[in-house]
Amino acid sequence: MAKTIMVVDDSASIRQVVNITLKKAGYDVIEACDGKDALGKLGGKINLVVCDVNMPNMDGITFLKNFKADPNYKFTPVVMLTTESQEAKKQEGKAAGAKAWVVKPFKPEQMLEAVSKLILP
Amino acid sequence: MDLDLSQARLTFIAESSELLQEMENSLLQLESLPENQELINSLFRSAHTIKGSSGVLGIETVEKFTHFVENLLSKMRENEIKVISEIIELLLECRDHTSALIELAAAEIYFLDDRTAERERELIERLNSYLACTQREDNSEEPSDIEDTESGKRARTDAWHISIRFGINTLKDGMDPISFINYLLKMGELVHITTLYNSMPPVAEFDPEACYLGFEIDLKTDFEKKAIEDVFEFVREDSSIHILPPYSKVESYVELLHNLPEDTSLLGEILVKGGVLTQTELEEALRHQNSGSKDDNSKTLIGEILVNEGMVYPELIEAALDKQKQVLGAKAKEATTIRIDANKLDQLVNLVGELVISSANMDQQAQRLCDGQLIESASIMLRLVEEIRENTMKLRMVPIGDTFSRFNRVIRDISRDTGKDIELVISGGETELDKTVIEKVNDPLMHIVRNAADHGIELPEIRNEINKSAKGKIRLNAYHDAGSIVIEVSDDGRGLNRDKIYRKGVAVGLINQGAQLSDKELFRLIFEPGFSTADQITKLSGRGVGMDVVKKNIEALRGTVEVESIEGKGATVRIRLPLTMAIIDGFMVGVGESQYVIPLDMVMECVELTEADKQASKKRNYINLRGEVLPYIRLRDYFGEHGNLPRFENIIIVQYAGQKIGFVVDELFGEVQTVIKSLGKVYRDVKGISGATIMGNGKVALILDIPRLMQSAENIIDKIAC
Amino acid sequence: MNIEIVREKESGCCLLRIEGEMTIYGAAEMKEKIISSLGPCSEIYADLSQVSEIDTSGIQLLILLRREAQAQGKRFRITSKSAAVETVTGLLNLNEISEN
Repeated sequence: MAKTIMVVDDSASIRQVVNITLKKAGYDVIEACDGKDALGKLGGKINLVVCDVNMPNMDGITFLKNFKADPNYKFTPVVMLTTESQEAKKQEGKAAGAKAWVVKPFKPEQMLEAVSKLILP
Repeated sequence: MDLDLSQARLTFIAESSELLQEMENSLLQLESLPENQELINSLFRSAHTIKGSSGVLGIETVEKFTHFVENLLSKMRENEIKVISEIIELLLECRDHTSALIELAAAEIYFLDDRTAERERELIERLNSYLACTQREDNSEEPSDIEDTESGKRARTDAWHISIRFGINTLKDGMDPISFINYLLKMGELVHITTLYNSMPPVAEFDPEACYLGFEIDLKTDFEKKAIEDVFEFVREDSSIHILPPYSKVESYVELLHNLPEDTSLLGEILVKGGVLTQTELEEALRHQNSGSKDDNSKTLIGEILVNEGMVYPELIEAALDKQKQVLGAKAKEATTIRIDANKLDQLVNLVGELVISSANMDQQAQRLCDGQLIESASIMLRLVEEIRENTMKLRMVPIGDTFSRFNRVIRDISRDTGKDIELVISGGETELDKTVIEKVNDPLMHIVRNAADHGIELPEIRNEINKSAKGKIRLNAYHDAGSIVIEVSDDGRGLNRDKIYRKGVAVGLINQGAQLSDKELFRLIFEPGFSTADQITKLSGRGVGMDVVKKNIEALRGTVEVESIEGKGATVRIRLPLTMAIIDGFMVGVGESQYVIPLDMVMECVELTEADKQASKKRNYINLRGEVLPYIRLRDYFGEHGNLPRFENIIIVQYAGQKIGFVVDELFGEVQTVIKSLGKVYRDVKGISGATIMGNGKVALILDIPRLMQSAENIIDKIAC
Repeated sequence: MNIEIVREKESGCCLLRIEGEMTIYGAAEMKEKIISSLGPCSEIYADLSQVSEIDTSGIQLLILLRREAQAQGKRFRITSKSAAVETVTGLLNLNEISEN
């Protein structure tokens, strides 16, 4: 059974790139455009989350805290999308439970690498 | 320039005594937790560090012996040798032997006397008998070839060796080691993998959400080290990862040196750990360094030797030196404690003592001159000096807990030797006291604890018969009480035998037959020289040279020792010591033409000795203090002071160890701070004086030894009690 | 995740049939169940043919079960493995845990 990955980013283009990359590698993908949207789409099986930090409505850190508080997802890995200058945010994300990260701008392969270190295909 | 290694040697001696203590603690814990990998790792690290540093410092006796110990521990760490009680016993003995070797080295003795050498041969033989059980003969630091014996190639293959221990929270953090390892498949060929699960705790402590796995992986790949490292990027922080490159890539070695864990800052060790040098090559180089130093005084740097001998590449040395600097830098930043030469501290304490005196002097001068501003300045300075004094004294204070926990071993050994079952209960370990005092109290304490274990606690069979639990209890406790620290050693054993002590007392002529003695008086006899009632002299205690020495040592610290006992229920030995050695807050009084200081903590109150009291107490030396009977000593008489009798005499009431006593004095001067100067040998026997102090005005005042004064007044007290 | 524990009183055998995921989400419950299965029996057989997914926590529990069985002198054996289990035990070179 294919693993399901949720991608949370306010940039549609980034969501698209990630979606295509991961689908090609055999994962199922759920897209969400911000933290609030993502929280609303929880409920089913999710094996991994890729999540941006700065987003409207609800930012990545807040989403992350809510997500990790849900007993169904507390051990689910989260990959933060950060930029070089967001070291503080990265640390905040780590503290909130996102132990993996990919630095923007990233190449599609880099995203795939990060994901395949964390979950089996 | 001559490298001054003497300082480093001192550091080594201090550091290794700590490590040895840790080893002892770990070994004792290992007895009840033989599966605990962390304990074994810690033991290995300690032995490894002692070996490494002694090697670099050229202390060959220690290095040679710890090498064998390290080998055994290394096998235990890799689970090739199981933890059994005989091995723990052997390792404890090895620990003791190492300690003895280090003591010799501290005294700059580098050859072994026959007995020590014999002992060492015996230990090495026993170590080897375990080592011989395992096939492998390599001394490599990294477990690089588990289950790979037939090739015998160790790390020197064309595969990378990855050694990883995942952090305990890896799974909770949402990461799965299996995925990381699966990812390695994308990078090349997994030649071999061993899953290590020996750090999994027993069922009850097994947390199903924790990660206990480690892996030893051989990977053939064309990727650079960085790429392999990056696989574990997300778990790097909490996991321990070592990556050994294939033998041929020098530039990768350099990088590895930069990535070694920061537990050793020694160049040679780094090179060995990095797999660049073998232990033998390193030892060869070190020998070179030592023999070179005998010819001319300048030591060739080890790095140079290695390069000259063509053993390593210069860039490796540079990397290693770089690494050393990094480690040192990190250490300086992280250090929360620093080690100071005790002499330097003593000097500081002395100087502060002088400072207290001279600022008090200045304050007095200022008062005399009646210059408002000067008085103000002087009093500010006095306050600051007081703060400095307090802080300085705190520098010397250390918790007694470490001293206490050493007795775990003592109790364990005694239990084993005597067949008794004894539990040591420690409380008040956080109580702080002066370092010098702690050092000096160690021996007396040892004696008391041994006595309690040897004479106090009964054998399990006997305890069962008399309805006690088979397990005897010895309790070590410490607490602060009115300016002194109290250390108690209690046991729930048979207690002191009144009759036996009485008979013995009569027999050796300490008391007269028929004398009526209180428990307290009687028990005090055991502190007399030549007094021992043990039926059998054992190797542990009871040769009749003991309790008197204990008492002497404690009194030398201006302390007291007493014993309480209930026959059949147990005994408590209570040591009372002053908090610090050097400075006390005192209360100054005048008698005749002299001045005396009483430790302020003990002073309760001052009252006037009324004419009525004087008349009433002409013969009995006690007064009625608000309905309470208070014995007193007239210091004028006690010290044979002359001078005019004042119109009013005062009585100053002092409490110590739960007893009150009054001292009749002429004048009350109030609080002072005094630096205690000991009174040389000549005055040692002057009863009632524990030291002297120099006042702000340059005059000398004597410090009263309250405990001793109380003892000499005790006959008065006892009479009242009757 | 679903564990079925079948005990045969006469022979002292215990059969563990595990279905679905053996992952960290069910690890706590799984630990209790498999440890309790050890109690009354002398031989334990684990059927893992219906395990859809297994992670490190699942592997650790199998190692734990085997270790405990061994310590208590009981026979332990994995009778069959699903592809998911086979992949992981193969990857980690852990086929030794199948039997003691």
